Amino acid sequence: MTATGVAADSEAAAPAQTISAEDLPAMVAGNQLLCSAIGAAGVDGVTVCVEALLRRHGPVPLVGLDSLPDDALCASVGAVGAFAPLLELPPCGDEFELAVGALEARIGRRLDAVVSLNAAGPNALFPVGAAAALGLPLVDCDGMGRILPLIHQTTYALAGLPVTPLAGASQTGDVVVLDTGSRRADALLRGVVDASGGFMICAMYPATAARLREAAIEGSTSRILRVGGLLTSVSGRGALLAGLARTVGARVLAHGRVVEVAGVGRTEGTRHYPSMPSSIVLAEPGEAGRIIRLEAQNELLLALIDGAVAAAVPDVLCMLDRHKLRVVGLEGVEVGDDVDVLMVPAAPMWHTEAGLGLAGPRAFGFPVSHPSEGGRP
Amino acid sequence: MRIGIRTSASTAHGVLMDGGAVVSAATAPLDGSAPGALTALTTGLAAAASPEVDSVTWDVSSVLEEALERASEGRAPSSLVGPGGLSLVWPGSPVVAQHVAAVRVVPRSPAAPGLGAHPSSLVRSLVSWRGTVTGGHDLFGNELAALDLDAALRCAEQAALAGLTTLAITATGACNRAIHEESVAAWLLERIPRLRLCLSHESGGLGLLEREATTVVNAALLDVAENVVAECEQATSALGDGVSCWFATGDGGRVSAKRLRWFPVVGLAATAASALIGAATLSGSRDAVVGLTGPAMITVGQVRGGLPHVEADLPRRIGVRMTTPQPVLTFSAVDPASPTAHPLNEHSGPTVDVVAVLDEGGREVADQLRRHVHPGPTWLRSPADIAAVGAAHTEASAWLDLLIPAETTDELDRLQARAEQQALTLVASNGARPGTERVVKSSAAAVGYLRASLYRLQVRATGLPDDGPAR
Repeated sequence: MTATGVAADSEAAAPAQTISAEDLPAMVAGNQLLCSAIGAAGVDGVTVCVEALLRRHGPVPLVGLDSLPDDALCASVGAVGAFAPLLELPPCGDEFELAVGALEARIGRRLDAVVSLNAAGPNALFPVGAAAALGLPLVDCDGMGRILPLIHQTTYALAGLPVTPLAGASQTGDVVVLDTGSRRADALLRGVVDASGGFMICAMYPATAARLREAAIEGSTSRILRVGGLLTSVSGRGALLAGLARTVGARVLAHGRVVEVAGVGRTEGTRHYPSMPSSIVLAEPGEAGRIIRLEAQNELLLALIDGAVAAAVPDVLCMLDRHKLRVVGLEGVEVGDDVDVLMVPAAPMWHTEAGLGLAGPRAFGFPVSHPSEGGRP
Repeated sequence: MRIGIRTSASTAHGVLMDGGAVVSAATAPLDGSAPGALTALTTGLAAAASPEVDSVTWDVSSVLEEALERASEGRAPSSLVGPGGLSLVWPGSPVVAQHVAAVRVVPRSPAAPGLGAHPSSLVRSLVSWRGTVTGGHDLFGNELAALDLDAALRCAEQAALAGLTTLAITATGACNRAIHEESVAAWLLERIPRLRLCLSHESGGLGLLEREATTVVNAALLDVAENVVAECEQATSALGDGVSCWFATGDGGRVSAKRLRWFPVVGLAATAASALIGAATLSGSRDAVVGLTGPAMITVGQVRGGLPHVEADLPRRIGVRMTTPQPVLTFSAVDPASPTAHPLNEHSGPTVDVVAVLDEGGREVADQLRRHVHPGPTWLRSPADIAAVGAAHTEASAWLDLLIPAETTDELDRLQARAEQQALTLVASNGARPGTERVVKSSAAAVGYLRASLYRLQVRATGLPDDGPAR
């Protein structure tokens, strides 16, 4: 980070000015805390792509929404699809120009800035690459503050911004433009994404800065950089947890040893048919130690302590290895891991009735209330 | 009886085993001061064997890793044969991995320089020339772009002009459909027969970069493996024609000399895998968490059913993520100034069932820990090198890692059964006694966030060894 710099524990620091290739290690580390344990192993190909674009085009200005004129046109950039196709075929690097170019052609106007669909996981990095490739500033905001599975599970949609027109580009160079209602967009897009190999870079939610001020979660990218700064520089567990508490409001729900990792799959003899782990059970140390159960559907969604809901989506749940001080992903969690279970509160917009209806525990099929609902069903 | 030998650039530790018991152990320097040191080691150990030695299994992973490290430091590759036909290399001199050319088969070329780079500095240092050929498939097996064979030939010709005739070829989607890699290989070998080609689908696994790293490292180790295997075979043959020669692998199995010559990457990480097996063997535990001590580090891994717990795609000690399996390990530094705060403490780190010494200097660490760790695990105190013990006890093995689309459970069952049969066949070809092959793991994990049904199949199989004549 140039201009202002980001100290490891400087949550009060001034907003970042630019993002350069040298900031990527912090971005990679930081985005893992907010990705709800999915993809925490990282996607090297994404980093290679974004780093190359930053080195070729130079650092990306990171600006606040308030610094943009009301009529500045922005669009959200993010990847839609699965991790596996992304692992198998990293981006070529021109998908951002293809997708944004198609969107600009559809709406008849050039973008003034790029915003993030969701600044977590690989989608924390793609908007940086897009801004670099397009020579545009990146606005320090996003529409999720975490990873959610559907493209209309955003604060943008909560505020009434339409997802479409939407343009997507695959690594093969396929380009599509969608015009439809927000609820149908995800279903239609998934079909195209599957047909194109399972992954597309998309530009969506075209909106002016004025409208985004009512819809976006501000400070998302700089938050990741600060978290990444902590994760890559702080060596003590206490200092790290204190820093995360101050920086993103992270709270330790419990700590314990993983005693069970269960999937929804079946086992027949030596054959095993797991999905990603769907339940992780931890035991606190000591005879009176509580039992913590984490429920997942691709991402961690629910934390139960001795049977009671302690935290739930859309708040972010994650596991932090107490010894290595690294985020533990669902792909790598093992029985015996000694972890802290952290909850990072979601943006206030997500805690409204509409927000919880769109991305609360019941939206994922859990018949429980979010803790903020105070027992309201 | 069996012999296990763990080698590095400078030392070889050997052990003669009779079942689970150590009969004798010995160490030989390999610094060139004693020509024929390997043969002296095998014959010395075999002298105590009664009945005769059935097999010698070599753990050469340190030699391979050191060759890669030297290459990454920019040292020139070793010449296998010096003036007058004298061997210039291991044992006696350090070996260095070869530089290779890398060719990716993908739908489009990177949009800018640097976008096609590999994130691993080791891989970048091994690849002296890189090219792109249009082609590839998606994970469902659909062709993403028509294969450009002429471009493949141009790549090979340009690499040859740069003095590179060993090519690592990685096609996107080859974990499901390998036809583009196979077509490129057939096309090139027909036109430039002197080429050596390593194809990424031979290692399998998910991830273009991970598979490319595996293929590049494998290609870079071909000459080193040729040298090392030949030396090991020679030292084994000194025991007689009936003694078979094997090589320990990172998944806790073993392969023939022929297999290691062509697929040396499987020999990496064999020391940790063998050490876990050795600890299980000497402790009599088929299921255990094992702590392995070194001078400044404790390595913790698991043995399940007598085999090390392994996974693919793990970051390597040599700084690269590869698709070939290796033990799942936790590393903890030992602080000599604060022995009570050590990583095996019941309340601060993983509990272990068995502790064994892995490296020189580890014995002092183990003794120090023994005074402070409660409750106490089983402490192994053997004069034999624990990895050499494990190498002697390795079994023939196979690991398959495939991506398959399957619309119905019947189709998935059929494809999984085919993969299991393929793994069993590999085990047999890796030297298992007929009829002893068995599948120990067969998982079909659905790939998330995709509408179509796509599964990642991982099959691990082993078999009891057939210590017959060397293959």
